[in-house]
Amino acid sequence: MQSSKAPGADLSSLKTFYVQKLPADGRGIEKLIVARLDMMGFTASSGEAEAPSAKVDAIVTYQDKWMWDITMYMIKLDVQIRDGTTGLALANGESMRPSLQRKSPEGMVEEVMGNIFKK
Amino acid sequence: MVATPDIGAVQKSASGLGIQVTGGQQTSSVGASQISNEDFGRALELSIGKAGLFAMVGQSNGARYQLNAYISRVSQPLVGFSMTVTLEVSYMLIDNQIHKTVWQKAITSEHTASPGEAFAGVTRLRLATEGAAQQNIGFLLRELSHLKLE
Repeated sequence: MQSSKAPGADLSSLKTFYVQKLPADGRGIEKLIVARLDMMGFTASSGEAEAPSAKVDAIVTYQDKWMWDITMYMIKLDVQIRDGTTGLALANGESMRPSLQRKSPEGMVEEVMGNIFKK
Repeated sequence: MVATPDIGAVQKSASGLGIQVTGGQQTSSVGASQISNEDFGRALELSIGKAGLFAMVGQSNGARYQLNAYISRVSQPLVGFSMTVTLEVSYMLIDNQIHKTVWQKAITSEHTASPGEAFAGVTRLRLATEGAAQQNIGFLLRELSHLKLE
């Protein structure tokens, strides 16, 4: 599990988020990320458009990878937090879990988002 | 990873450039090839130096300009015959004299290594990763070459 921030990035000032749905995602991962952000006290929405209809502090993008081992499981999740105006990445986080260490998609989202926003 | 694209006539700055890279990862002995801050920084230094865009490159202390490169996404396949790696780097050029960001952009690049390039998948992945980094720096050079800097 890894996370990093861009030099000078201040995540504490971010309050509103828009999660851009990955076109290839058919599992609703963007909704899990929105739910996690809501639980963390932020205001979040999601959609298929690249940019939200209203201005937000940050845009969230993600890439999920899945593997099959008896059942399908999420092996990797990458999340980027981007500036709501410029689109430049402010921070990113990733989690990679082989089959024997697998977690639910909710658990992977919680892990990655928690690591990105940890103080 | 050193890039030497044909960027045509360039705007050359008489000032120095310092480079800082963050967000990279070291390659472990058992993991997939990664891009480290040190390797990418060195490639940037050599590429920008060869392009002749700045009077001096690499020395952060006292340099007029500072280039911050944040490696925000390295997307690598888990398996495959042809391996395609996508790399996104957020660049920010800061003028240290006026303490302002004079240019910033997120650059995404992609490179595919085919089975003909290497038999071993780990080698194809490394080639694809290095190719994506080289292409990313090439795009950066084209952007920097059009900037009017002092």
